[in-house]
Amino acid sequence: MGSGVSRSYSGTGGGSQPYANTYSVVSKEMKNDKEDPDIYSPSSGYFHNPNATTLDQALGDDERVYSNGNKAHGKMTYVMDENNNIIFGKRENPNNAAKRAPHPTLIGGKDPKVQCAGMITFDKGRIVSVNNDSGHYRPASKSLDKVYEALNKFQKAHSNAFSPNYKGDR
Amino acid sequence: MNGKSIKEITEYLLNVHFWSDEYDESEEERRQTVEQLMRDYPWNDIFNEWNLYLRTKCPASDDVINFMNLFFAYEGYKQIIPDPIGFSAYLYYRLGDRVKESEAQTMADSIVIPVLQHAGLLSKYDTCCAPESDPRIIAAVEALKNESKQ
Repeated sequence: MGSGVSRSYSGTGGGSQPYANTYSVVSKEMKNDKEDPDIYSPSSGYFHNPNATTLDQALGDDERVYSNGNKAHGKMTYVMDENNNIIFGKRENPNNAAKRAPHPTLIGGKDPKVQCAGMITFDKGRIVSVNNDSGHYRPASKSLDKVYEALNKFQKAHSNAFSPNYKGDR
Repeated sequence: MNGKSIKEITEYLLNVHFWSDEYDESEEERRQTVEQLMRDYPWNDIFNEWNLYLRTKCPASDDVINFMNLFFAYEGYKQIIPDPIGFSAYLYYRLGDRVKESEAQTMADSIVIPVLQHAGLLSKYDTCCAPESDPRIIAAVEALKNESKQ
């Protein structure tokens, strides 16, 4: 228990993890995932979600956010990686249509670390909201500050990518 | 709302193709219409009309997907649904195997997971579950299938 703010933390409690600069997957979830070949491979770890994209890459000429060729609409998983990129994607699991692709697959690999993770809501290509609802990472709500900072910067450059209902903080 | 009934307003809000120019051109007006509707009428009464529209005016699975797109845009998923399992199961019953398709799956998840969370049936951390595999949803879908055979 206890991580301080200088290193990754991966706890096992039922609530959010204590605040940390970066988070690893919660150990209970990692244990479950390692038993599921549709999610985790012993040689390469979490598969990489083919729908994963950064916000910058997803921006269309019309300044709307796109996912799989269409304006993003609905709730999707997102993470903020260690390089401050916001990566999001639909949850389809290419290995099994009856399952979903959890947050770690947005980065992939054996121990993908994030600064924050949760759900991002889109309304026809415009960002409506973000939260820190991730069962795999359970980041502390304070980690959202970094996400809002990144989104507010993105909004200054691309205001059309945001819904009139978007609030730049909690 | 200018003397219009919930039914009339529902027809206006839901009788449009979400991905059409018609929707885009009237999007702001629709947003304001929904806001006013929510102010003027109890949510349960509104939901009852929207649910009736789903069950009587969406004959094809494409219509159900369009309904989900609109329901989400109008933020219906943020409300407390009177029968969350029943509503969710009906969507999956109508989608059938199309729930494996990208748009249908994303929209069903985007609606059903928050609906079940608001009802206390899923936790805030159940963000990557596949609701159509939930035993409660499976049982309710089976019941709908049996009902349709009678």
